[in-house]
Amino acid sequence: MKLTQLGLLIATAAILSGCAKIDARVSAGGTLNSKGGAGKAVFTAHAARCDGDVSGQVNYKDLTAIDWQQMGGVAFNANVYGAGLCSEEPVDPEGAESGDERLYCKQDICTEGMYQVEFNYSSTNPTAPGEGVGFACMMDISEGVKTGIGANGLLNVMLLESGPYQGYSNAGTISGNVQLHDCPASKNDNTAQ
Amino acid sequence: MINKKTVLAASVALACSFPSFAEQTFRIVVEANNNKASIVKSALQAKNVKIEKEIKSLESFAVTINKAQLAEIAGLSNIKAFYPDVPRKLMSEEPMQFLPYGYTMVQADKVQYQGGQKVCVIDSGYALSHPDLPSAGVTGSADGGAGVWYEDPFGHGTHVAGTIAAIDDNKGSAGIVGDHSLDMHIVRVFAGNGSWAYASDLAGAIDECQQAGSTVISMSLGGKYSSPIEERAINKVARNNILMIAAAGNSGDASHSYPASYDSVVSVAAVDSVKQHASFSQRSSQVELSAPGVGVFSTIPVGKGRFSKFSVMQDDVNFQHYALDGSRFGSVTGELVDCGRGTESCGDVTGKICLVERGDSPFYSKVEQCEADGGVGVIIRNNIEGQLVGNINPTTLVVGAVMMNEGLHLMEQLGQETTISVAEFTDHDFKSGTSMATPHVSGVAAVVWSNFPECTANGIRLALRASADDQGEAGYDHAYGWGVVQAKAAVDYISEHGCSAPKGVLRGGDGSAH
Repeated sequence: MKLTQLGLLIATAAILSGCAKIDARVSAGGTLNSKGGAGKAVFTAHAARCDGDVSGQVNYKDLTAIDWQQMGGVAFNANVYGAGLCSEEPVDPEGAESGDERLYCKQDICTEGMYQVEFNYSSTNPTAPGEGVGFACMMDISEGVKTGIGANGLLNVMLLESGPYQGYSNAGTISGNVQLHDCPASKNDNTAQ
Repeated sequence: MINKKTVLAASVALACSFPSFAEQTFRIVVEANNNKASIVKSALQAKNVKIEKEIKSLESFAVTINKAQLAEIAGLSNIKAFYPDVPRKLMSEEPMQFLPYGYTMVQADKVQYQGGQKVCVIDSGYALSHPDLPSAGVTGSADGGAGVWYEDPFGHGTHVAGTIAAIDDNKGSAGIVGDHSLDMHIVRVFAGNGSWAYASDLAGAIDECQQAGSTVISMSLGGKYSSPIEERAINKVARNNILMIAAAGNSGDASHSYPASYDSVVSVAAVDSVKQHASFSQRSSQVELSAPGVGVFSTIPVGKGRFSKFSVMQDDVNFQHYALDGSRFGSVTGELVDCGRGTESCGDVTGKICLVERGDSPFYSKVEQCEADGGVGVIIRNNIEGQLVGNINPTTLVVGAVMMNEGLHLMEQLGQETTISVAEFTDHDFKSGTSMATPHVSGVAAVVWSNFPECTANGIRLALRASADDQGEAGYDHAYGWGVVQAKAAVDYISEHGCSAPKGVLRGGDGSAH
């Protein structure tokens, strides 16, 4: 009986928690399928979370996205305010230390091994001006091997949650790359001189 | 001491799914004490209880009562027991055939298959022992880890294969090629629960289809990420003159799904029985053709069919859904009349079929009203999105339901001779999805190609585009592609225009996508 209760407790904790973000950097760039459209979406991202400091930028264009073509497509530049590599360690979002969403990845969306960025975007499409927020999860699948076909990463999801492109989402295999990097030693290594 | 009659009443309530409405009737068996049958009969008649059947040798009566009368019967003396008169039905397949609506929608009835093609189905397996599926001419690849090809615990592949090749023998269903003459090859990539296969599995399966001599590959599957190995395998097969067909996806949004969205593959969207774009069917620049994919009737593993099935047939109408539980089996034909919501008499509808809108009164009440007016069958039309499944008191009428857009269509067909049927079909069922649309195109491609074996895969593909029944926006659009695939129109198109086509990989969708 106690084991059952413990199982339920673990299951409940898992439901409430996302994976903890850990320090790492990501650089990504390339094209992926448009959101249903005939063209390609172009995506670049540089983000870092080192010693808890977050920085980075995301640029994105999907000019042929179905349902967004009438307004000239989706195009924005963004500043990253949350970033990190999703770890295997769950974090309880109700916990005192982890009340800040920037500390954990999106439950069931950005899972272990993916890099998550949250950003404030500003539209660069003059027919759809405005600002909003969104997030993206990406995965480095190249492991340094050049396939010759160019598929070195996945954009697991890009979702714009507010602003002129609210509701836009996309996902796909990136022709280009997604590369994860450790933080510089001078940032994370306490013994560094 | 617990009152025995109270317990019995409770058992009646449980077994009958006790009616929610006081006036709703149901049928029970009343057993009299020894030598008291005549007294009980008189008592029942005195309470205006309708005696349906008297079984003198058992001193018992089958009666139809309502909730209030049940309480009165519980108080009668000389009753040994009463309990539900539970329904019984045939447990074998009806000697009846439901011709799937897609069969005629894609003009499978207008073109004869001429042989020489082989369709490879990559799916969850194939119920080789199914009485409505061919076994001769069907081969399969060795177990690659998902299980043997000639079994299909999940049922998806068997349904897909039935749409292509179910035997047209006045029983069960009928496939696009229903005369046993189509060769098929089966590659099973989905295990028992049908949940996952990988792109590498599919790449291997496509290669096996080619090795088996297939000319058409049918893939009722997909996922949101493209895969280099999968695309390589597909392009290689395309260069070898094999036509590949795949499901556009079921997420209902504007997004790509692979393998359907590779240029070398024909991406198939789903429409319903009145050619409306299915709400779940993904839109994209790669969608190329549409085909029936909502409530498609086809084969499933033996004995796994759910509920009884219902069909509505007019000259240009073929709607199929689940019957209302309680309907009698069989077919009736009569003039279709509008009976509103069935809350009041529809007048004299002797020998006619009542079309009744959902709402305002329970289903059983609508049926009983039609029966009282002399009707022989009832079609309940839904007035909200979705399929209607329900039950009624056992009746002598044939009763079923249709979806909202079908009901509205029938409202424009009043006065027409209409045939409605209910049958069991334990080896067949309905499924929805672009998975179900895909085999319609695969089957039609094989039929058309068999008539022009000199054409290339690209030539057949271009002919299917050019001859499709345009729906939605005029010309190409992202929901329907070029329109609903048409076998006869494609044959006519090639007869008139030939089938010349460029070599190499064609662009998908409207021809510009990639």
